[in-house]
Amino acid sequence: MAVERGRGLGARPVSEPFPPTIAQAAPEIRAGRLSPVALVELCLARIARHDGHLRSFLLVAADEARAAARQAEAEIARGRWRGPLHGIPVAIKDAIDTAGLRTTFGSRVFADRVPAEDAEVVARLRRAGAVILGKLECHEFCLGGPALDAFAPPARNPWNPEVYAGGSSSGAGVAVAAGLCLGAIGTDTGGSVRIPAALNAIAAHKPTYGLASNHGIHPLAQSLDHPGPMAWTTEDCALILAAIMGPDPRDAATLGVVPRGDVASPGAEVKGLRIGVVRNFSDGPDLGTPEVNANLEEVAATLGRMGARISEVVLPDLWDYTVANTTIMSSEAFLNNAPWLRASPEKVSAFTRGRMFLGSFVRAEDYLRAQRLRRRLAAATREAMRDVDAIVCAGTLAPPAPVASMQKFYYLRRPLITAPFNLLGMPALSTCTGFDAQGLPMAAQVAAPPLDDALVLRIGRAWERATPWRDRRPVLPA
Amino acid sequence: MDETSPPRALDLAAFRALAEANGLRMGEAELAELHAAHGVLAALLARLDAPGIRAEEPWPSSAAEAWERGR
Repeated sequence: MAVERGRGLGARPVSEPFPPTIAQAAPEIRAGRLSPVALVELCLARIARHDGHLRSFLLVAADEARAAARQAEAEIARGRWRGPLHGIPVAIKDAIDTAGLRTTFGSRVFADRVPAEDAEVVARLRRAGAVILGKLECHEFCLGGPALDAFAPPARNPWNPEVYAGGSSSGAGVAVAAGLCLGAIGTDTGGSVRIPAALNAIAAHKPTYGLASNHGIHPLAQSLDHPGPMAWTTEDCALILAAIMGPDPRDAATLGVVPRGDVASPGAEVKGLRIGVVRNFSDGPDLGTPEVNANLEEVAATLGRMGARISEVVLPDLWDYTVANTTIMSSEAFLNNAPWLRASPEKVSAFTRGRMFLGSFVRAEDYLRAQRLRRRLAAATREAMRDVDAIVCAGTLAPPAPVASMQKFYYLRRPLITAPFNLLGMPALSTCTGFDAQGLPMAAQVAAPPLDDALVLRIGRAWERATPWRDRRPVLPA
Repeated sequence: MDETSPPRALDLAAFRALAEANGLRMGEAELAELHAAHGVLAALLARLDAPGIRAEEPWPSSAAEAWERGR
């Protein structure tokens, strides 16, 4: 079986072939030089070999995936190529419904739930010809992790299995980084595609709010929830987003949301773009580590050498965004899960229970104040960004902690650098920007005004083409 | 908050009563842990009291709308 190897793999020792990227595989599949069946078998073999250790998949739909791959191959052989996702193996966070495949939301409460209908984003992936490999581990109800007493243990970070792999789309981050699938769909309410992306050295895009449908996705907080693509490269994220985005009459938030530019082919040039560096999110007492801030400076300098016009943008206090986001999310999360939290709390992990219960204590007047603060922050952010096209900030504030040391309410102790873009519905990408002294991934976020997803993806693509970080994959146990 | 608002932080007895009224069931250790976390959250929520948040503005119907109305 001949399988396209990812670029740069000859520059480092490898013990097994990682799959190609979607952008690499698609023309080969279209031309008949790469078999979707072989690609699926590669992913299934890698899952069999590595996932007992990594724990990224909750369910592997091997038979269904093989059947879908055979169908894709037959269609393409008849000249009916559906597009770049045709025959591409992807996987789905278990917060997202997949028809006929158990979907648990990461909880014992729904351990036996099998939805009859795909979520809209999954239906669109299937129409695009993608092959669904299975369901990926996630924090319980997208809020409760990493809980060692959860329905499924947390996925392990392939760069260091003792540290946090991020969440709540933890399985997706791990599976993509480990080459178990070529792409994934996660969900993001406060950072849940971008944080696992940052901690696993992959790319993930949280789209403009409403660009992709939430229909068929278990809600955490409806006004903050965003489904989003996760893949090894920004280029692949763009291809996935193009397939899943668009209005859905069953999700009113998607109506009238028309992105600017070409999301599928956003370009890869930053020359002349005005990019603001947001230092105040990470440079200050109890914010980012010195290594995080040094990395951000390197990112800014590199973008400048690439031809971008770099300036500083000072945004409001990160804690303001965090408190507004947490207040709204906590309240909505409790309401969305109240029936089983009240009726069957023993079925919910202690982590999840505590975090969800906390939302029940948020007063209505504070929820409404948080919405007012949200409006004020939107105006202030817009004003601060008036002279730039996009902004860049750190992806996380610190390296991941050992999983065993993580406490239930750790998120109340540190501001959340991903939260502003959920709160304001701005498109935000996480992309790898290097590795720290411990060999753990570092990342930056690129964000822009709502509807400028193509611009964000363009900057991410340019960054990844100009830097060597896409050539470095985790070394997995044999 | 204004001067008529009750404090956000609650003592353990009041917190327990509110938990029960909310239909939440948990053991004492978990309740104590949650009470401590609520105290941390209550302190953070003081940020919602900052001046300059105009009460007469409508709620944002979407992020994009909130952004556009910032003009």
